Amino acid sequence: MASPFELLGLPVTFNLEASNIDSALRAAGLKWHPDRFACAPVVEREHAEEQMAEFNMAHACLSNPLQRAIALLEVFACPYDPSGVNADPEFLMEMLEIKEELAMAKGGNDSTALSKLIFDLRQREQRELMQLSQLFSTWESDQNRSQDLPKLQQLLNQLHYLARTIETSY
Amino acid sequence: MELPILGQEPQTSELILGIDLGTTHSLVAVYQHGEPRVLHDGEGDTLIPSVVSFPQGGAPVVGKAAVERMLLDPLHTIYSAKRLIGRSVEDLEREISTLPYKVVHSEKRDMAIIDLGERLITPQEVSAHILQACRDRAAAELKLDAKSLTKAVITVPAYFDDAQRQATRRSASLAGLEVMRIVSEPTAAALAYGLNKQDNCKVVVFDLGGGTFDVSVLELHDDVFRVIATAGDTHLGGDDFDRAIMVHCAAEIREQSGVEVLADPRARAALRMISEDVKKQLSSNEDAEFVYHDADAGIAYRRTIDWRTFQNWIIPYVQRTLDHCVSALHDAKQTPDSIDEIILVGGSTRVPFVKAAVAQLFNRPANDSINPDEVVARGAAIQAGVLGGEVKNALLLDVTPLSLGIGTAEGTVSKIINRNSAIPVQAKEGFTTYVDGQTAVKFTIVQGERELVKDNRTLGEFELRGIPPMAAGLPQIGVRFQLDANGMLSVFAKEEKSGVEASISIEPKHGLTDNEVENMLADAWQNAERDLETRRIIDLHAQRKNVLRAVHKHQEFAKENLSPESWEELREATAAAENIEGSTEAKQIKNCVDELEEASIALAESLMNDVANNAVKNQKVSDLSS
Repeated sequence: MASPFELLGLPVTFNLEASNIDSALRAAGLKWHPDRFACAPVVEREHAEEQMAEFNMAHACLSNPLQRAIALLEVFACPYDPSGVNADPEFLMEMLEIKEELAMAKGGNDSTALSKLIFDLRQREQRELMQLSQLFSTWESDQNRSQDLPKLQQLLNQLHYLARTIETSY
Repeated sequence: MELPILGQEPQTSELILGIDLGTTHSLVAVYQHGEPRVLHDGEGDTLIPSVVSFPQGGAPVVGKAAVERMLLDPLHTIYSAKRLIGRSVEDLEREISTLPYKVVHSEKRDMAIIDLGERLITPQEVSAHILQACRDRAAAELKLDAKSLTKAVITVPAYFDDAQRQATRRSASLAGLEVMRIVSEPTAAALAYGLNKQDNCKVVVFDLGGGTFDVSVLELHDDVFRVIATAGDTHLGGDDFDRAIMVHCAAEIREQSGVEVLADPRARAALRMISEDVKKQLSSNEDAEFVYHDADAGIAYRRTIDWRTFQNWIIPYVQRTLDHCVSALHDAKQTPDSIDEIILVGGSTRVPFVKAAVAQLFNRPANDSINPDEVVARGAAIQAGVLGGEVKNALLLDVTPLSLGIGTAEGTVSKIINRNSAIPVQAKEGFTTYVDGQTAVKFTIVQGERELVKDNRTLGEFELRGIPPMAAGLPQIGVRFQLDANGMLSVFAKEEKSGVEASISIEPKHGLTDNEVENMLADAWQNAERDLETRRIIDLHAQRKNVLRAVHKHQEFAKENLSPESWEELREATAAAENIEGSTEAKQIKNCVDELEEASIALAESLMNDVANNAVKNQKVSDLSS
């Protein structure tokens, strides 16, 4: 099956602009949205439904940096495998502390502290995303593509953990 | 259907009507000569009151003529039918008490119907009469035969559930119209405004009509419209403002004259009209007079209402609209400052206090350059132009309002399509069996944001039968969700090894009510933590059982091949893991599972050594169990 990059006709790289991803969907939609086939025979309309669904999914995947990273690793035949990643003990300890602080802020109904913690987590997520983007640009330009893979996978793991923590903090 | 003959010019496509089927008013527009055109009657009015009167022994009357009968014949003159459509009496308790006509429960259809005395009529039939009036108006204005107009785009509030959308489709077919597309009202409004817009802007559509409120956050890229979030309430609108005036004045009348004036349907209809008139006056005047006389009942009531008093009466309703705005912005991950444009839709946005409140929330005045009554009909006509092929540079991309998923054997939900996904969309997820030799799997399709099946809405169930007997965990069952451009869901399941298939199309008999949607979202937020904890416990128990099953399977082997220390360690860990069956302490279960896995490493190594004569480090026994 075609990769989301291929489907939307985008370069296979982690560092894509959101506006480019959106433009690609727009171009596909103008051609393939079922509305374009409203007066066409049923077969053509159904085909358009399927095509558009694929484009929508590819767009959703590429618009999310973590999913984009996973899709990219797949294209390069280095699938992301969370179970094979050794977590950084320091990161885990920090997260445990943050989780305790979150629980305390929530338990004590301290909304100021809670917003502060979530804000910090988001800042951290942003920093790690930047780091991920840098790692990917070196990794993509490296012929061997093996050097940084464990580092990439570890960072991805941490970002997943961060996203999950933020999601459940509200 | 006739097929076009090759070589012939394609037939010029039939004119598609764009209809705004509103709670209080309806409008019809068409796309002609490169622009939308709202059609009016001989007197130049574009609004068709959504009122149908059924005189005893006579033909039904629609629109203005029906409005005139509201006072004369309130029991047979139906307004706000849109509030009843696709809903049950249970959903409508609050409404029914304020309607002058009689609404009863239909056992057979499980929905609210109207009792006219001589006969019963469904809200769909009432709407069908309004749609017919729209078609007749178009035919008259365009000098066409009404029979030649058979296709329409119809708008509904964004929060309309499936049952309400289906009921609206049914109304159209009763009126002899094929629905080419149901479009959400705010989306249509954005279409009407959007064509001249700049690239890449975020728009909030604030639509306060007579009976419904919708707020949507849309993303506009020169010609693609994407709805990124919606919120709203089909029980909030200008009618509430009228009712606020009516209830306050009726209370004063009761104090002054002792007459419970709202108990009389005719008096109530009269008070409603006076209230509406007062509200309209207060859009341009500082104050307005409320005058009601009924010599028979001994009532002579007169009161001046200034804008400040009116404002105080409607604050709770306006506050609710703002709350929905905040929640839609949150869902769309936007702030009031990141929004480029705010569009006002619906006649009730003419109320100065509403405009001021919206401007205050967003820190700038809202756009009302297109007549707020006509903007939705214009958008519907543009969508009709898209479907007819006349408009090539506009496209409307819609989203699904709630997540869709599959309930698992443990009672948790595996989300397959996330809320706010662009449609059409397809998504796939793999499942397997839990018991050795299992030949059938039951799938529960759920809608909602909660982690557990029981807290979400079940849309349907189906079974995949005829799976060849295999060990638990071996069958590969792919479940595919397919949501089309109109929001209809189809689910397919296939066992990949045997090719056995099953599928279902979901057309819920009765969809979600607004309150349900709202409550489900609120519940999901409030209970996220607890749900997660419950889910974690369920997952841990599943893991525990997996490892235990694997250990039991190789018990004999372990006894013979492990060192006495390892064997003892494994036995202890197994006993501990068996003893915590039913525990709800995540930590405790986790510890037991960890210890058991740790203890089973020796077994795994020994098994691997035995099988392949090849040492494997750190392999857990559960990985080898199949």
